[in-house]
Amino acid sequence: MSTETNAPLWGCPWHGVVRREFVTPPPGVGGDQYLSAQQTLTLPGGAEMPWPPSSDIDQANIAHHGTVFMQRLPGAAQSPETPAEQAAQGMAWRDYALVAGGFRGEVHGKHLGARAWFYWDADMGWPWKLNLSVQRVSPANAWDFDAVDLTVSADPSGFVLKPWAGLQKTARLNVQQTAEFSRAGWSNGGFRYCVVDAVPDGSKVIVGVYNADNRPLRENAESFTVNDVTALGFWLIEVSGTPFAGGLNFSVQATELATRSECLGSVSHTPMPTGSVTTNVYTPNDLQGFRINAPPGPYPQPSNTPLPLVSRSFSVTEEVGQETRTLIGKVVGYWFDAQGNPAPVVVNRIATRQRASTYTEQILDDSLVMVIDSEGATTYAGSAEGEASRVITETNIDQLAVTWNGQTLNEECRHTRTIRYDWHYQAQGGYFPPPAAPGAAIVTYTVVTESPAGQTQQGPTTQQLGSVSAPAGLPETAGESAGAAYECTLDSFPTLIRWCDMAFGVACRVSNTEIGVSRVLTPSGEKGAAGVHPVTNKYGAYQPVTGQVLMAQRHPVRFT
Amino acid sequence: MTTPTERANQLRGNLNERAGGIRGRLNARAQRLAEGLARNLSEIIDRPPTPPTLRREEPRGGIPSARGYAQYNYQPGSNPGRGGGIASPLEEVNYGSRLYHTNGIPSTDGLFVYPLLSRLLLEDADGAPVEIYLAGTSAPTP
Repeated sequence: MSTETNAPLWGCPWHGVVRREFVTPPPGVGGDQYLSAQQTLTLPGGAEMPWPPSSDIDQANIAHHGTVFMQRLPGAAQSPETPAEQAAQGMAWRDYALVAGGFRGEVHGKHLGARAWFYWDADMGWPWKLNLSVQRVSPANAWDFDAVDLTVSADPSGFVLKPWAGLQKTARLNVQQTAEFSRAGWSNGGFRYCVVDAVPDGSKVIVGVYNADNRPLRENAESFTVNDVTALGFWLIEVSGTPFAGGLNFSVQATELATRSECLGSVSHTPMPTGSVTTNVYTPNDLQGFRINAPPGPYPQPSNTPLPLVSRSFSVTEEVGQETRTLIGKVVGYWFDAQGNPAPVVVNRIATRQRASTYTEQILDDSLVMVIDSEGATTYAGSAEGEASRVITETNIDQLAVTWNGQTLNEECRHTRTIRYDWHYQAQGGYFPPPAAPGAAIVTYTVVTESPAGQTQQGPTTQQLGSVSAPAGLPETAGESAGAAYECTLDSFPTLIRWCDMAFGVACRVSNTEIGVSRVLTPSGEKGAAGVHPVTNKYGAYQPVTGQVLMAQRHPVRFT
Repeated sequence: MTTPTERANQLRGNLNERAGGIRGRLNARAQRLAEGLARNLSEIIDRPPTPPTLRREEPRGGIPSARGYAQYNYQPGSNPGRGGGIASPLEEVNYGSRLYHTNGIPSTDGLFVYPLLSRLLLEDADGAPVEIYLAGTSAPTP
């Protein structure tokens, strides 16, 4: 027995992490694993217990699987007690419940319907389940439309003593659909509308509009499959009044928080300039670099003719300077702050490529003399020795900053590729050695990568200049990798990743089998730890009350 | 030698004779009493009759005081010092003395658990405590 007040408990007494299971496909079926509806709850103490199968078994809905928001209903118990016998079984009643938003709505495993949340009707002191449906108004086509009808349906929760006839309210929202961003490749997709956040009493929710371009669920090392849904806009829905009494006092209002052009845009590109640089290239067919400057003959017999060493360095026009690609101020998410005001999650992405070249040379010995004796025989005395170096440094810096409400997560990937050419010319018998001679011309590659995964270095790798080839894994230039705020593909440059709608981080490829991930920005600040994980670990979740975050999980996870 | 039937008939005849004599004497006596009564009534008929009165009942008070109680093990009357029953009305004096079951009753959609009363503490008209224990429900499931 307890001495609890007569306020109802809200939610359920089990809290922890719900993990979706995989099943291995039968022999002969491609792919590695399928998602199963089977789930397991891991309690804070580590104990596991079976959890009711998920309602969102449709793989298309897995994109926002880890998204939950906290709802605290004023009419529910504010300081719930957990009886000792229940606590001994791992239960803990709390004054809130976690509502799974996204495309589907769930409260601790109990399905509420599509795009659902809870609303506390303060007028009548009654909890309601609200569902949202979206209808485009007179669309010219699936993509060009300028208004939507947002219909909120209300169903009473708790004890219902007689049948509910149902109630719907519709608000028309004018939406801006113009954007420079190309729609190429999206025409086969569709829109997805998801509840991504709510205030505790449910009077305000944020709806995210996404490009629902779902790839096969099979684990794909090339992409972040389930999270590659690009935001196209964010809306605010406010409800007030009571749905009782015919809903005459029930109001629904909608506001566009972020337009499509605020979410998408074109990259601003400043190309790399060119300039004149000095080089000294050794090729098998040309003894460039230095030459022995023999004076014109005929040479008397006998004679001693100095053969001075002369530089043959020359200038070429190459890319030198800095190339920049920027995509600034794009909205990728929207969260409520502690006061219940919506604030955008903004991404700034700046990719630069800097290229520089330096050349140095020096003559070490210039004493070579051609000696012709009285019989016309030619010998050489002294030596001619010179050396030259050219260092080409190319640095790719890809910065990605995620900002929300004054907090910023800054991540950067920096690839510094250094190519150093070293030539060493020493005359032997009056001539320079062939190109393949050891030490005659060598090239040294060094690649240093600094990313959320840490710092790695390839090289220095030294090769004869005549057989140069880039070491395996040498990063290419940033190229078009900054073409959009989101990236679907993983490369060695940073990619924004949404572990769930309340945890944004940065990921980059470390190798074919591993990814490096950064910390994440959440409504409670930076969370988690950077690290390296298998490339298949693409799922994450955030607990909005405790601030716990999960990322790079092998299984789809959700806090409950 | 007479048979039992003949003997019974003879006895029955004797009894009938004796009953007839007794009945005759009683009728004569009743006749005399009736005549005497008529005379007496005729003598007093002029005086007004005195109405009959009932004897005054002594006050006895209510039901003797006693404390109503219920043992936790539902064994009534285990306290020999008390007796009787519960004096109506019953009143809940302290709302906060209510106790609730560990497992409440779930709402129809399973999203709320409403407290389920397990003990109600009342007082009867004499201020004696009355406890009511109510049945509970099963433990919650995910």
